[in-house]
Amino acid sequence: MNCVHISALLDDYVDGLLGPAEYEAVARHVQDCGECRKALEETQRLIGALRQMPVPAPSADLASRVLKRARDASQAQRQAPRRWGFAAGFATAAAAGLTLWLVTAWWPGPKAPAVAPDVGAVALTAHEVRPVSLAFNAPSDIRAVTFSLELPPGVQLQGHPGERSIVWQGRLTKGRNVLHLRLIARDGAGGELIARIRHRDKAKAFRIRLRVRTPRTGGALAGAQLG
Amino acid sequence: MEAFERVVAPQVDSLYRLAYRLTGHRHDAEDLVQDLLVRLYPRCAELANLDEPRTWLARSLYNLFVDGLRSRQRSPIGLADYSSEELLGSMADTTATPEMRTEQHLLQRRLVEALATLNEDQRLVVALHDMEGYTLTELEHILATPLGTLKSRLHRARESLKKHLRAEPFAPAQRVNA
Repeated sequence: MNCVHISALLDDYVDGLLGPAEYEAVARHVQDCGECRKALEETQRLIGALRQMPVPAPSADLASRVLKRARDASQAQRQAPRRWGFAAGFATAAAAGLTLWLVTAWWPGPKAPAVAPDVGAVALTAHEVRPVSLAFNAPSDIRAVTFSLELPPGVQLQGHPGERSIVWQGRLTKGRNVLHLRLIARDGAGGELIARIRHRDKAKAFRIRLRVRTPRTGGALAGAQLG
Repeated sequence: MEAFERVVAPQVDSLYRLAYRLTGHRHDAEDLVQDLLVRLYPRCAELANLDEPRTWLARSLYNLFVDGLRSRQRSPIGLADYSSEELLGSMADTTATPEMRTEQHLLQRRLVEALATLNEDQRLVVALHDMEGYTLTELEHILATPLGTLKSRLHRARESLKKHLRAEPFAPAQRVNA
């Protein structure tokens, strides 16, 4: 092999990606060729310097702290009310992440506006369950609340296949209330999810944009995709 | 849950380092690791059966990072800001002589400048492979990117970095001859 061939193999050589024969060929060549040896040493020096790029030390007891919070969040979720609707509890929802906080003035008018305010966007991976949490502030305990969801084509709520409009009755507790949704979308879907809350003559609506992407291919590691 | 801690606890440091390389800020990195573990805790049984938890966790962290950016509509990926004073201030090797520390500091400052010239894909593969030591085979899974593409990005990134480092640190007019 000449210098051109060797030069093309130097990265694979330092990264350990060559087979035995090519590895030997490169090793022999750089012993005899000053130019190629210089190029190899330059790459090795660069990698050595990159390896030394520091990372600031994390907070003390990071490991024990994050493990404890994971444990506590899981426990809080298990203990949360399982009713189909809102579950009071800011900490649980905050820990679960991916939460759209809709902390706005309550019951702004007698009717929901014709165009619901846009409160954010959520990215979904097609065919994977995506938990999304919506949080609301309620000024007091409120019974007999009607909730409704309108889903765009191709997006459904887990456990409600084919349903584009879902309505149910429930109640709100004073303070923050969190609605946990588990959304599933198919390829090419997307659009807007409208969530409405109604109590007597008061109503509020929110619009959430949903974007759906094709799943990544990951072989045996596909399970690493988080829902 | 003991199994969760047994699998995850040894990986927290490397997850934090990876998170820092992605976010560029210590607090953001810690939050990202925290968020990941909260999500993974209910999947403890799955974690306990992993052959290679390091790669699986790294991929999960990366996906979470990308999802977070997308949900906040922040694009493109904002890899670590290597010009941050937080990072530069932590570069000193306390075991080296003052002269060595000065030289090391200068080299790393030039490397910081050079890294800033790379595109995001190139910086990502350099950060994870050359800085954090993930193999390209692992990165195929973590980044869901073909090996050939990773090799090409890495080669171009290294060539660009070497070219930058070969350049004189100061313009000729600024140099002082003894």
